[in-house]
Amino acid sequence: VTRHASNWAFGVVAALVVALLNLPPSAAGRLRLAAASLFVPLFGLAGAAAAAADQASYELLTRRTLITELERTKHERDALALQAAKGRAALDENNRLRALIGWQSTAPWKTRPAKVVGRNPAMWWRGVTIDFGAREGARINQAVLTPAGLVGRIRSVETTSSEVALLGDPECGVSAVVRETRDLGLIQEVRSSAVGDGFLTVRTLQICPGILPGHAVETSGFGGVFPAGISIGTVVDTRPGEGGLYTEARLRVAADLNRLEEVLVIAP
Amino acid sequence: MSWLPQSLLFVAAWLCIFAETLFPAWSRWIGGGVNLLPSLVAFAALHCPAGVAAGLALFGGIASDSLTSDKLGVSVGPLVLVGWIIHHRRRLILKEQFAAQLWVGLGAGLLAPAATLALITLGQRPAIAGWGDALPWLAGGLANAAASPGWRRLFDWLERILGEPKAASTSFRNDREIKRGRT
Repeated sequence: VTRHASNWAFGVVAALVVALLNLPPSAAGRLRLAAASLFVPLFGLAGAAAAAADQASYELLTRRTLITELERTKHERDALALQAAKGRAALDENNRLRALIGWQSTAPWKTRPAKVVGRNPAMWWRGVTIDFGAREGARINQAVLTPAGLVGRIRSVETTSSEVALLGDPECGVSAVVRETRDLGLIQEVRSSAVGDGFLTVRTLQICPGILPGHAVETSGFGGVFPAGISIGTVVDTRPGEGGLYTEARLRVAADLNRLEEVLVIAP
Repeated sequence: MSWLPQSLLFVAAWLCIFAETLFPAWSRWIGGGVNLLPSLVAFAALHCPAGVAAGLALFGGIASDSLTSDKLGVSVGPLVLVGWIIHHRRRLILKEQFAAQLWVGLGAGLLAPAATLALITLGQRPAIAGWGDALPWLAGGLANAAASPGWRRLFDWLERILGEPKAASTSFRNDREIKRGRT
């Protein structure tokens, strides 16, 4: 009887095995999930034990080890911050150069790129030094600009660099024309750092009531230094000049003269 | 064995399967996990009723398959086979002997994985088993051989502390019975 009972027990389980192996995939999946869920508490317990062991190992760390590690991390952080700053600067330069090259290919003039390498701290609004000298073919009076607009002209040339007189400098007289009204004028000298605010004044040759805020001012091409059509700025407001003989129009300069980093020099 | 230690066999099976997942570095080194379930089923087949051994094989097999990508139920058959063979031969096995316990564990530890592998590879062309499976197979056999006497000691101890106490032998002796009256 006992032998019979044991055969029955193993036989029933064997039949169950056959049934299990032939279960449809969805039912087998549900059963598998149910069986696996039995182990969830154990896996949770193992995870908690591992975390506790980690915590215990932290408790065993000496103050000296922690301080050494902290110092190492600080050095590493500083080095990474420096690297990140360099990377950001390189990325910015890359973007600016891409924009410059893109504009250069569509500009009507033949231009050469140059980098601003210096500024006179005493008269910073009057001139900058660029890394474009006689060796690269620089000549006095070559026009310097950015994709946004006119910057100035080359005042003096060295072997590897040139000094640029910026708009508003007494040595950078520009003959200008209001694009909408074709009124001619001259860019006035700036005697202080007012150009730092981004404004210049153009004095017309006669009274010009037609000049309105928003009108564009560009080079006229009459001076012989700057080719015609280079943007100088936009009229902000106008007022009658001394004695009512001319009009003075205040311009917002198109190129940001305070943040020059790369410029283009118009080749002769 | 009383019912409480018998139920603890299922807990032991549960822990055995979980323990297989605990040492991934060891498993990588020998090429597979070590499953002590065959020796536990063999122990149950030797010391428990057939229903308990068969139930343990069913539970352990399903639980083991639930943590692997094998087809559900593929591990149950070999465990049932191990349990059935040992249960049928239990009167011939000297289960109190240490050497016998080792051999039973080794046999179960080698037979169950081999049968499982055979069941998995059945009809597979090309066969998925190779010589690389020999090391985990042998390691599994040796681990089960070592575990087999351990199961015996563990459950003997559990039986002592949790099982029903044995009835004390009576002081009554038939040969000392005083027969009254005439014989």
